[in-house]
Amino acid sequence: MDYEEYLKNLGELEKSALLETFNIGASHAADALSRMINKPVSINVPNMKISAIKHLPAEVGEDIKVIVYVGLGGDFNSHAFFVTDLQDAMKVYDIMLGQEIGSTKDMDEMAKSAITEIGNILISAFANALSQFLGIVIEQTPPQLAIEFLPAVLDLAIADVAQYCDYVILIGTSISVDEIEFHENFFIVPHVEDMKKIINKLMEGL
Amino acid sequence: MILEEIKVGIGDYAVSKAKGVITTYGLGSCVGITLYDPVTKAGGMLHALLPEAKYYENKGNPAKYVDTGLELLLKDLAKLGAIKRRLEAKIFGGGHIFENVTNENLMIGKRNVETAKRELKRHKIKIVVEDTGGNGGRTISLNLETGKVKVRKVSNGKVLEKIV
Repeated sequence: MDYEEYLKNLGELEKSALLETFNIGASHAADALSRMINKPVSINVPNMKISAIKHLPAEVGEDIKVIVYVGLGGDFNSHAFFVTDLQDAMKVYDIMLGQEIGSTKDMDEMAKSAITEIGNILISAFANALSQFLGIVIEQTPPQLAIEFLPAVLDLAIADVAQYCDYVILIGTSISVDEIEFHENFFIVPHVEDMKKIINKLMEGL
Repeated sequence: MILEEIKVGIGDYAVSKAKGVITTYGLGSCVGITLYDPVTKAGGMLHALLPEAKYYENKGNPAKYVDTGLELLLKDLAKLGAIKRRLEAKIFGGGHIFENVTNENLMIGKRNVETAKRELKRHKIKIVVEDTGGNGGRTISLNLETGKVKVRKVSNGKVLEKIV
């Protein structure tokens, strides 16, 4: 099975079915975060990109980001990242504590642990929605946070999928919390094999 | 003065001579190798993702593996007039960002560095600088005029820079 050919030739119907599925996950994630911080949260329609690994740094940008990582296993082996700007992370933390935006000026341990929890809740809700909708088992590792160059953190996921394929699937979203647009992004980097199984499952249901 | 910059992607390499810089961003577990011939000022950089091509059945782009990527880099450097025995190697990266990630498949950094050292030794190229391992990412730029490498790391949300 040539995964590279498979990815490049993915049909529009398959792509939109997949996008719709991830959208269900995203809306559950928004609800979960909204309950946690007691503010309206929306996550817009995710876009899906198939990118050559080589060009990934140019694609995702090379800035320093706050990144929460959760590894997904079971029937959907993939790597999930919640990525935010340093400034945005501090804003979300302020909103979460109900204090004036701009109060937090430094990502201290408290802020880090709050952002880790936000990332964890978003990714968990996303994974749970996917697993319910598709009737599959998705295991999750505990969340971990890094403040780093984004491509350096994505490395672990890329090295994992690059064993099979020179392309990655990136699912990006943007989030608004309390009507403030944030540049938060989910990145899901799935194993192509499991991605294919999911697509097949979706197409059977049509 | 702004130096002309060549960017190297992931699983990618580039060579040039005498002026400008070659840069690659965000080495995490990936390994970055720079080679420089101080006489001809020919230099190059490899950004490899995985250790040995053979282990992965040589699948896909050869520049993503340390060993086959190094071969490509050496071939292109020779075209620019670099002499192998004069080459100075510097190696960077091979970090492990999340300490709780212990799946062996995902702990590729160490293997990348080991392979880089072994392959350089096999080619009889001396390693003059090594900045590898640890839990941080690195961005590196090779200055082709001087052969010096600028290394940027993140510490507490700020960028630290050094020249080696």
